[in-house]
Amino acid sequence: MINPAGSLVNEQVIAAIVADLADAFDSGDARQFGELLRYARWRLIATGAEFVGTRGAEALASRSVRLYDGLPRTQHDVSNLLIEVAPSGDKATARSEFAVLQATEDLPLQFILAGHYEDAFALVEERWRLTSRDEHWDLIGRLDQHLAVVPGCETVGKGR
Amino acid sequence: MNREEVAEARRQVRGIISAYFNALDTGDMRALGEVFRYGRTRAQSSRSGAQVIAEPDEPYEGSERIIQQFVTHNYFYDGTPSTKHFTTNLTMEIHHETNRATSRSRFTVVQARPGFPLQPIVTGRYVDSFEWRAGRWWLVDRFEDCFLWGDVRHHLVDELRRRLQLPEFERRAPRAEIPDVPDHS
Repeated sequence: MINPAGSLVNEQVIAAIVADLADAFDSGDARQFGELLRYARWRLIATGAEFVGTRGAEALASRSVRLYDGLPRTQHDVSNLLIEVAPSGDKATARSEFAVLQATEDLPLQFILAGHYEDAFALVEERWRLTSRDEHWDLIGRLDQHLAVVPGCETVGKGR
Repeated sequence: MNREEVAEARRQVRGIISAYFNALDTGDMRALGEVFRYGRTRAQSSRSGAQVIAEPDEPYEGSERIIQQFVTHNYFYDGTPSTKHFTTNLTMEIHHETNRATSRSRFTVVQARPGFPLQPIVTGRYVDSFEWRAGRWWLVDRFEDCFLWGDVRHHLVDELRRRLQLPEFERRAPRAEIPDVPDHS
């Protein structure tokens, strides 16, 4: 997109990717989620699990979490988003805080997890792409309605 | 549109979204009306945006209709709904050729009342459109999709909760167990 606003546009596109990731996950859109993660490695720092590319996206969004009629019944609120585009203009990093809300038949609406993301982006074939996301769990609530399995969960919860 | 104009557009759009929530949370109906002077709003209830539970109503248009909608549908306690609305995941596109802008955002509403501890009561997303008119940006269309429902018995009147098909709250905790629900009159 040619736009006189320059790097503002890069930041807008990257902010949109961060929002799209939450949208795709929360609306159970596996195709879109896989596309967003095509060039990415997503690490759950708390558990050591890594999810790479479109195949990893499927494992993350479909097999690692509990779905209810195809939906996780979650909302990922992402805030405090800070984006830094490298001077070279083809790489960027971002940091954000997230809070996950969930409501199911057995779980009244509540916050189930809060943490932060450390993201990296790069221009791939002239499009901004997520290349890595480190997901840090800082405050842990009830995850039993969200995660299919919680490997190593007993070791998390010590803060940053 | 130059860089400064884009930045100004983004600042104003952000300001309108905040002004709306401020107006709502403080019960400032005049300010709410001002936000929607040229706007309309439609709401639906869904499960994570996928399975629609309650289709959107006819849109509410203009200040008077929108104020009337809030006064009719929400409980107020000494003039405010005792809520806070938080906006997250905000993205904007400024279309300088057409003097229009669109934004997407998520919202989370929390509420506290005597006997009702601070908690999230509903979450969802907005898809908004803005237009440049008479020297500033205005909200012209808002689509609201509520998708995680908590306990809204102290926020939304019975008739609306019925329409949104939220009977599970009656089952989970009968309304009579929580005192201090004022009559909406």
